[in-house]
Amino acid sequence: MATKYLVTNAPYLRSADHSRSTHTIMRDLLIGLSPVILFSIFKNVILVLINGTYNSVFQAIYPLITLIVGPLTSYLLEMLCIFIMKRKEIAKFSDLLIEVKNGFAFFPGLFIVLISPVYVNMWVLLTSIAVGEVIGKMLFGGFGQNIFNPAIVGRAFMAFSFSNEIGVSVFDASLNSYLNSFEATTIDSIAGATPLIRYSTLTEITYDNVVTPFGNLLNFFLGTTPGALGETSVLACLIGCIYLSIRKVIDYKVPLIYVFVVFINTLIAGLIIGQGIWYPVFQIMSGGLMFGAVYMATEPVTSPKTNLGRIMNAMMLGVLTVLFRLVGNNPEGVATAIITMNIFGLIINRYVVRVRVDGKLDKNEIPGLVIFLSIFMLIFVYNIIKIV
Amino acid sequence: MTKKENFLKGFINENPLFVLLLGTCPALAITTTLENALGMGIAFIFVLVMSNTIISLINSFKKLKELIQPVRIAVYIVIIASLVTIVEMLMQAYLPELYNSLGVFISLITVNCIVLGRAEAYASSNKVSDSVIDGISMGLGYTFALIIISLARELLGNGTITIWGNLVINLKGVFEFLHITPISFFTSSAGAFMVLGIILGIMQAIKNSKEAKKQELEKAKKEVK
Repeated sequence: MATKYLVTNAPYLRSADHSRSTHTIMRDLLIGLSPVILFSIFKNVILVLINGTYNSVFQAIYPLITLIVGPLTSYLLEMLCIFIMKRKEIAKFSDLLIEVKNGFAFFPGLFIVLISPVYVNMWVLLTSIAVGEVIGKMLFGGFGQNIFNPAIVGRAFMAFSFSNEIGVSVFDASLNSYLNSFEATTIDSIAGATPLIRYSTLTEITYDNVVTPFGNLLNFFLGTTPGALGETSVLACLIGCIYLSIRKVIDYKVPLIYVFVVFINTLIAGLIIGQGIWYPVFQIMSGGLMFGAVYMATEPVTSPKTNLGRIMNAMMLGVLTVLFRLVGNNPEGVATAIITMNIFGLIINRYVVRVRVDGKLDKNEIPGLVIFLSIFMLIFVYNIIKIV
Repeated sequence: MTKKENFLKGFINENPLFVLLLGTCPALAITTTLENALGMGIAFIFVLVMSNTIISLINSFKKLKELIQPVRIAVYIVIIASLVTIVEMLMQAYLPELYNSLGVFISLITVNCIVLGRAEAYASSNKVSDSVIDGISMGLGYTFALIIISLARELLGNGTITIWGNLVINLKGVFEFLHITPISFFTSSAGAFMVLGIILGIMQAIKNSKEAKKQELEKAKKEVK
C-alpha cells in the first residue's frame, strides 16, 4: 500500500495531490500573478508611454526593469547561498541549477518588487531583496523551512531601514516614489501620495476628503490609484484569486474571511463616526489589502495547514490589519499583520492538530478557542473604540 | 591549563559573548558606537578582574569559605555591586559623556551573568593569580566581541567609526561615492540581533568545518593503522 502522507518539507501535500507537484503549484501561482503583473505594466509603463509624460525612456520603463532585475537578483542570491551551504553535495553546475529550481528562487524577489513603490531607488530595492532572500529564506534552510514570508521580511526591512529613501523618487527628489510620472502630473496637488498616506494625515474624514482626490471608488476597484507597483488593482487580484482557488493552489476562505473581517470592523467604526458604506469599501480596496490577502496570507509554507487554523489565522489578520493601519502610526498594516501572524503559525498549527486528533472539540480544547476568541474580540473592540 | 592557554581562551575558544552567550543584553543595547563598546569594555574588565581577585582571595581562606558557603551568591553580588558603584562614580566624575551614553547599563554590570558566572565557576575554586588572568582574558574577550559588533553596526548604520570623543573616522564620503546611504536599521536593536546572529553563525560554521577536518584526519589515521 502506498503511504497516504509523504514526509517532506512544507508545503505538505497528500500523496493524492502529489501528481500535481510543487512545480505545478508554483506554475499556477505565476499564472495567477500574471493579471497583477500585466496590470502593473499597463498602468506604470504603457500608460506613461502613451501619455508621454516621461523625461527619459529609461524612466518610463523603470518599473519593467525592476520587475526583471528583482527576481533575477533573488535567483542569483539563492544560487550563491546554495553553493556556499551545500558545497560538498554539489558536484556539477547542473546540480546547482536543479537545487535552485526546487527552491523557486525568483518568487521572493518578484513579490518584493510588486509591493514596493514604483520609482524606488534600485539599491534600496536590491538590499531589501537580499535581506528577504538570504536572511528571511536561506538562513532558515531554504524553501519550505522559513518561518516568515521572505518577501514580507524584505519589505519590512525596507520600511524600517530606508524610511527616508523609500518615499523619494529615484528620478526627481521632489517627487514621491509611489507616483509614476503620469500620476505625478495629474495628482501632484494632493498632499500624500497614496490614498492611505493621505488618509493617515487627515484630521477630518469625509468622502470628498478621502476618495474624491483619487477619482471615485471605481478607480480604486480598477486600480488606477497611486500605490505600490502591483497592489493597486482589486480587479486583477480578484481574477488571480478566482483562478488560484479553482486550481486549489490557495484556500479561497482565507482572503474571503480576511477581507470580511476588515470590512465588518471598519463598517461598525464608520457607522459610529457617521460615515456611509463607502468607508469600509474604501478601506478594503485601498493599499495592499487585496494583494496581501490573496497572495501573501495564503502562502503555503508560512500559513497554517488546516481549515480551522487557516480560519483563525485569517480572522486575526483582519483585526490586526485594522489595528496597525488605523490605530498605529504607519499608513499601511497588511505586511506587519502577516509577519505578526507568521510568528503564531506554529502555535495555531499545534492547537489545531490537537483538535483534529479526535475530530471534534472536547473539553480540553475549549480553553484554547476561548482564549483565541477573546483576544480577537478584544482587538476588534479596541479598534472600534480607537477609531471613534 | 598553562597560564598562556588560560589567557588566550577568552578570545575565541571560550569567548563569553560568542561562545558562552553570556551578557548579551548590554551587548545588544550599547554597541551603537565603538566608543560605547570600548567604555563598556574598560568598565567591565575592571569589575571582572577586581571581583575575581577578591572572591578568589576570600575562598583561599578555608574558614571564611565555609562561613559564606550558604550565602555565597549574596556575598558575591555585594562585592560586585560595590565595584560597579566605584566604576559608576568614577565614570560620572571623569567621563560624563560616556556615562550619559551608556546610561543604566553601567549599573547593570552588577547582574551581568559573566561576572557572577566567572566568580562561581572559576574564581571560587582557583588560585588568585589564575583568577586574575582569567578575569583579564574574559574581559578582553568580551571587549573584543563588543568591538566587532559595534564596528559592524556603526559603520553600516551610521557611516562613521567613533574611536574616542572627537576622534571620529568619517566614512560617509564612501557611501556618497557609491550613491547609497547608511542603513539605519543596524542602529536599532533588531539590527543588533541580526549582526550578533550572523557572527554566531559564521563562528559556528568555522567550528563545524574544523571538526569535520579533524574527524577526516582521524579516519585517515585509523585506515593507515
